[in-house]
Amino acid sequence: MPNQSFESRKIVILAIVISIGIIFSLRLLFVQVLSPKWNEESLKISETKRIIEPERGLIFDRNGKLLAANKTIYELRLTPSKIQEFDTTELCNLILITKDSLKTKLKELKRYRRLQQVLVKTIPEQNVAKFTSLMYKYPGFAMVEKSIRTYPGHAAAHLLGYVREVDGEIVKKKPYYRGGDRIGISGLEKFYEDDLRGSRGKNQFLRDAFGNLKQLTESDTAKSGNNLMSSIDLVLQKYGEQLMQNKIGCVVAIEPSTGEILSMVSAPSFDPNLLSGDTMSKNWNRLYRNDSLKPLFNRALLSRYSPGSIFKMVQGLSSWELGIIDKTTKIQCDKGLVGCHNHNPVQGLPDAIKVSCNPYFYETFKRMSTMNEGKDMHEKSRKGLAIWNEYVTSFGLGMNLNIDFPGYSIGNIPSPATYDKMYKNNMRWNFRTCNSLAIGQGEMLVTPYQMANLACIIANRGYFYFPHFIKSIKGSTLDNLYQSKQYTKIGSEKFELIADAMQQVVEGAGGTASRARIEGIELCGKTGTVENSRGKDHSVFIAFAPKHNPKIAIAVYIENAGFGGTWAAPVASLMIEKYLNDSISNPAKEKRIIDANLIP
Amino acid sequence: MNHIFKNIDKQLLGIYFLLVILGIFSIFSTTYDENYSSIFSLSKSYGKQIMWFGISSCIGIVILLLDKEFIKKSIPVFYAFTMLLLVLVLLIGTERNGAKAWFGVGSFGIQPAEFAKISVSLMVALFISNTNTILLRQQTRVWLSIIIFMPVFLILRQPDLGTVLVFLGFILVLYREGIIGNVLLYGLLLVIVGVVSLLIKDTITPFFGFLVHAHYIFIFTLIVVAILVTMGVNVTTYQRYRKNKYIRIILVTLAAIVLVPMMKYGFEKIPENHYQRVRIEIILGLKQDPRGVGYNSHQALSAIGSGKFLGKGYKNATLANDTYSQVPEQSTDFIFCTVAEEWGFLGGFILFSMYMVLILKIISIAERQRSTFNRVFAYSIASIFFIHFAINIGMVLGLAPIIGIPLPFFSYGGSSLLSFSIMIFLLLKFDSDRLESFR
Repeated sequence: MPNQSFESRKIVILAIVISIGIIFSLRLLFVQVLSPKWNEESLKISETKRIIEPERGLIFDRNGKLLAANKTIYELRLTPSKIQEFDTTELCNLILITKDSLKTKLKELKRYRRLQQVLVKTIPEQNVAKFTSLMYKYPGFAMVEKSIRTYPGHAAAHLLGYVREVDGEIVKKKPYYRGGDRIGISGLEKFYEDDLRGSRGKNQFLRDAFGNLKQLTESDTAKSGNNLMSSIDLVLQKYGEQLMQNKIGCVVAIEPSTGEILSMVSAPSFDPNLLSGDTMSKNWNRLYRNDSLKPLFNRALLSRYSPGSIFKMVQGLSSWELGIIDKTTKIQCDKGLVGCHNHNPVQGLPDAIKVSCNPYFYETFKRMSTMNEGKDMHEKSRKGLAIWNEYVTSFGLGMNLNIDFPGYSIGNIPSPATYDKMYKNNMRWNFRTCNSLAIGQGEMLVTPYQMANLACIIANRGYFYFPHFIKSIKGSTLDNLYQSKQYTKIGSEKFELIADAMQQVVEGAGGTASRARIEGIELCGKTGTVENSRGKDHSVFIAFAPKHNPKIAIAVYIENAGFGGTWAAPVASLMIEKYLNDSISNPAKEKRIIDANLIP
Repeated sequence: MNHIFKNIDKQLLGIYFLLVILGIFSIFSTTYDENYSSIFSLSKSYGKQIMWFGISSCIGIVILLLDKEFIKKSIPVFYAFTMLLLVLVLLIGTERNGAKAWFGVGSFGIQPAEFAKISVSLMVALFISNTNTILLRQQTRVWLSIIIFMPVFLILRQPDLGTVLVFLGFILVLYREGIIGNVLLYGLLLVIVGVVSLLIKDTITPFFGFLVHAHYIFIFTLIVVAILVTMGVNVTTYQRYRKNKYIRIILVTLAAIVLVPMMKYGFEKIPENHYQRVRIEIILGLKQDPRGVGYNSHQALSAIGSGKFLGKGYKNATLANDTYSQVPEQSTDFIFCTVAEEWGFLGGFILFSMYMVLILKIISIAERQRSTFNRVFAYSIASIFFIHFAINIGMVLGLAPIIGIPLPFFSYGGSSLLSFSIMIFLLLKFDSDRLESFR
């Protein structure tokens, strides 16, 4: 029996049905089109990225010998919730730990049952293959391949630097890096990080609900880092480290015709492999905290020393250029002015350099001030010191030499402002206040690489290239910076005479560096003996050879060793002979140096 | 004989075939395997679904050929038979997914609850059409309750909450027949008020220059709406009916106002981490728990969201697919995820529209019937389809709790396809006879 009075109720039913349809359509529109949220969620649950780590670039020496390479090690990890009973004796033998330490380690790891954690950082190399074949007996364990840095030359620790895994701070500062990445922390590893690290590859997969990778959707191959050929000569470097053992100081050798650094020794040194692999932090602490000789400190680039008598060439050349002396100017050796050793009267500038006469250069320093116009000596001295500073810095001293290295000291060449500040603007200082600058003492501070660069300037008769460690790197040409000559303010014709004088220092009768003499090589050098308030004098020597068309310029600085000619000069000559002849003609000289312990 | 096929509603038949065929293609896509690319394979779900489609069509033709009076006479027997099956399944049925709901032979199974929907629809229609509803209203309600609640009780024992909810659809039928009053409307209103009051955040908001609790603003809004409705009554209703309506409006408004703080307070009483509370909070969007309680919903919405406007293309799903298994039950209850992922919003919207057309078409068929039996039966069918659609889609869209209930014609499952087909064919049969009965 149809009940017509309720027919209008179909409107309500239709309204309910249609409104559900509309609500669902709007919701669908929101989920699929208007809001990006659910699409983002879908990517989160359905995509997995796998990073492919690039091979870090290798570092070679100038002759193609490997300085830094990569090695694969295997880390042993385990997930406590997944392990089953296993043969503990066998495992202990494989990873070379005691049962007790395995027990404590396992207990520690079991705090996070579902997390895969590191049990042993390095599976002993000899057991890797055996362990791989036995893995089936150890469910829940995993061998994870890792790449670490090795330094096959076992030398040049300070230059190469080291790499380590990034920490939170680095990740914050440099967004490229992610946990587990390695980064160069010092040395060339740091300076050329961008070239050496290469670029990461990435594989993107679609995965199922259980995390199984199902389909590769995107793939970027990793690009290995560029190999770097450095200017270092591994043989010379190792020889330098051997000569400098049990000494504090440094050796810097540069090829004058290019500015390439052939060797840079900072003593005491260490094996760079100490700062690689899982014992790194332990070794680093030992080298950093528990060694009073500060072996991590790179003296060749960071120490600031008084140059001593090797500065006399700069003082003499500047004075000559300024016209206040010429090559034949004779000045009396007035020991009342400053101490000097006994020598024959000086017959001009070359002779003054050869015998290293202190009063001679004091007088030239005085003339730099007195030659100027001025109402009193203070004013004349200010002008004189300003000119002096201009000439001295043109030799690269106290200047930034743009070395491709992440940290080096620039030194300090005083200017009038230095003394204004020291004397609090009391206008009383004059050249006498600072005339020890004339012989490389006083407030002047120079770094060893700048001393080697000074030897280069004289070897080149008036110019230098910015010293650098790079010879070539794949994919990029050598920076123009390292290919342009830097000239001093001195006319090049004046250098030949100075080179003659330096040859006399080594070969002439009464020269201060007779211990540097080498049969068959024309070696030019200059000794320095630097007074220092703390202990014995520092022993200094700069040199280059051969005299004509020089192949190597060198600076040797040995702390608290005494007279320059006694220790620094023979070290330099042995280095030069090794580099030029690849053999040593005087084994006794070599033995004397290697055996010497000059650590105070 | 001929007149049956001549009078058949071809539009409804067309929508039916369209939905079933699209459903089979969707199931084919979810389980698609390149090594097994033939769609006709009985070892695969889509192959079985095709087989069930064939069986359904045969039974459909048989139904069309049967005599209407014969069908009507056998309704009580059919009803009694399904009730017996529901009892038997509790005793000797096999358990799947935690419900003892199946008579199974190998990988083929039959769910008697699916057929209970048909027998109850038929029984309700028969009962209402045979009763003088005006005279015996109270008694009618009791009998109808027994007819409907007997299977509900048995299905709850399995337990199969989804199928039980389908029987809620009969409220719509009884409402349309005047057996229950505006309860439906008011109930719906109160549900909406309750949900909104849970959604409102506990914040103090500026309101016309005053700082007020957000819930007071909601109550204020309710009063304003009530006043507007009252004004509407003044315009549309005769004076003598007005008083009655005013009283109802006042009562409903009061109930709504009381409900607002009660819902909030009552909800706060449930312990913070009780799973029911968490479930409700996830549906309301107040909380997320993609790894635990909210896992299914999170995976389903992610798959749908990844389809964007145009979808990834047929067989290109990368979440709602057997290979990736990111969505649970993807060929049965969550089949819509595959459709939405592969065909995007466009495809999903078209699918919604097709269901709307199906339901509205059945309602329009219901309204054109001259016999109460036909009308009640048609409304029952419409309600069952509607509840299935609303709960299934509501669930995958994260608007309703996760309740296992198939999407008609799309979800993989022999029993449900067969029972939905029988409903459609019975309706086609009764509808084609409506002109005959006049002759």
